[in-house]
Amino acid sequence: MGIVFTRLFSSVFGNKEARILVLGLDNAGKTTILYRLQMGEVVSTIPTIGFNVETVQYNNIKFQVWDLGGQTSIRPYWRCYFPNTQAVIYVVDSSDTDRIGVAKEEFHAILEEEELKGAMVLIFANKQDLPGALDDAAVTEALELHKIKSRQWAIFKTCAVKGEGLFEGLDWLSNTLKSGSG
Amino acid sequence: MWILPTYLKDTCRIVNGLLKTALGPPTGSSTTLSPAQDSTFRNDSVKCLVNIAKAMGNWMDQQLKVNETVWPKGSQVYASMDSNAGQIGELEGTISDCDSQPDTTNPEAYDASMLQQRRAYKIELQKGISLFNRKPSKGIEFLISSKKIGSSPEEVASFLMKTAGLNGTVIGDYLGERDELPLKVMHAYVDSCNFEKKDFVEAIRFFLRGFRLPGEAQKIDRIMEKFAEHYWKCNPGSFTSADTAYVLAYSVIMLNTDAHNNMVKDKMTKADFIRNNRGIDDGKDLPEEYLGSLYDRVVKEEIKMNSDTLAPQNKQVNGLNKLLGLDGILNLVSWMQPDEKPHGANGRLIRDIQEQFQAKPEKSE
Repeated sequence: MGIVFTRLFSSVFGNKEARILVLGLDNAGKTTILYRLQMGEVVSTIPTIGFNVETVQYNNIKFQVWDLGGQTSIRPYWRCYFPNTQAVIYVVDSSDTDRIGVAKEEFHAILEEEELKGAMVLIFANKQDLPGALDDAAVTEALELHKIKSRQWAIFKTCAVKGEGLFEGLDWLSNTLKSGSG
Repeated sequence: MWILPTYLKDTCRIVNGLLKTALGPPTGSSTTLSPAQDSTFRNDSVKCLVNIAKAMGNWMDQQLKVNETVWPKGSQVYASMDSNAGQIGELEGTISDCDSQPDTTNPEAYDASMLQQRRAYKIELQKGISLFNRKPSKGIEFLISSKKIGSSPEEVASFLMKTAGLNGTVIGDYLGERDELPLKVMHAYVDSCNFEKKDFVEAIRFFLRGFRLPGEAQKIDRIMEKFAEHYWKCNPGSFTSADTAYVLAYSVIMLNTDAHNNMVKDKMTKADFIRNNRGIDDGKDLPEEYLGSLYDRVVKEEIKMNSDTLAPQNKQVNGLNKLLGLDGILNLVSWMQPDEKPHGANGRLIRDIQEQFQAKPEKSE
């Protein structure tokens, strides 16, 4: 019902589209997040060979979410997908303290991309259900988020397998997108 | 699809009749047959039953692609059967021919125990396959520990390539794993493909038809990097380095997603694609016409997994499976799992046959 209502609503008041990249290290939970976001829309056909892509209609905004992982070697060749990107969702496995340093370096390298200069950043401190998971404050520190200049960002604690925190993040995204470029 | 149940019913009726003959007249009833005639009838019935069981066994071998060399002792016995036996027509032929079948030098007891061993082998193989389809790593572990496949990455890769009944999506998930064995298996899988003299897009199509490439970026990355390395080894003159092939492969997968995934509304143009690939050949651009034709071909014809075949040599068998409804036969096999009691008339029949075979060796000893 909710989805139908949202659709009706957006068809009356117009629609916005946003292209989102989901980035993050292996095993951070990107696929689960993408799967969780599709909100019960059943895909009956065999999915196309290639990257996971989902379209999510939420708060009047149509999010097209691409799982592009985060290979340092490949990154320069995503150019085509960068210019029209409104936001990056960066997913961190908060329980993987061994690799949080790698996650930090990768994260700051992404922010340096020329084509992503205008994109806002939403950080998901994922896997909060696992023992020893860092909370949002600790992840903020580990990723050195305070170094982010002239860009809107936010961090949310999530547990993708339970679907917790994801839509709070999308709320922030949609509100910021609406208030931003109009 | 209706053919199979019909044949099965007929076969069951024949088997039922043979079984009754083999068991002789029920106690308390009289017969007009002389003891000598009765004994001949019973003997021949048992022979026919054995032949039917053999023919069915052979057919299952074909469906499951059981390697005969696994059975050094039994191979002789089964080699004496028509190598094509196993199809339904053949099965009937065997039934009507059973009188003229020359006696094998092996006692029937030997046949029976071999058959049982083979049945156990096939049931375990099936168990491994269905476990793989649910939990790939566990399935491979089981198949290795129960000696259905060798433990080397090459042997596991060859199993994934050639075995009917494996789920292509699961194969892809397994090949994309980060753990040591799956990673080595993926490398062996790629290395066993021959990309020589294959054009780049053709090689990708050829490579990706046997399993479903997973949608996770890092898995795509690992698999396509290895693909590119091997492609470049097979075609050293194709690009300046393997890195070029790697980036281009990644780019082609991205194009395939963009062009054919209906979640993507604004499609990439040819100009976008060419721009996306600028400078990838060791800092230089690949020829525009080349990239343009690559774009056209991928947009025109989606890169897809072969939905009904895992390898080209399986094509015929799979077609046949469809026609005959192999599922039905596989169900028959799964009925015979030792922990499950068969039900109904056919279940009783199967139990009777099982008992017959179990009883047989003792008698002839």
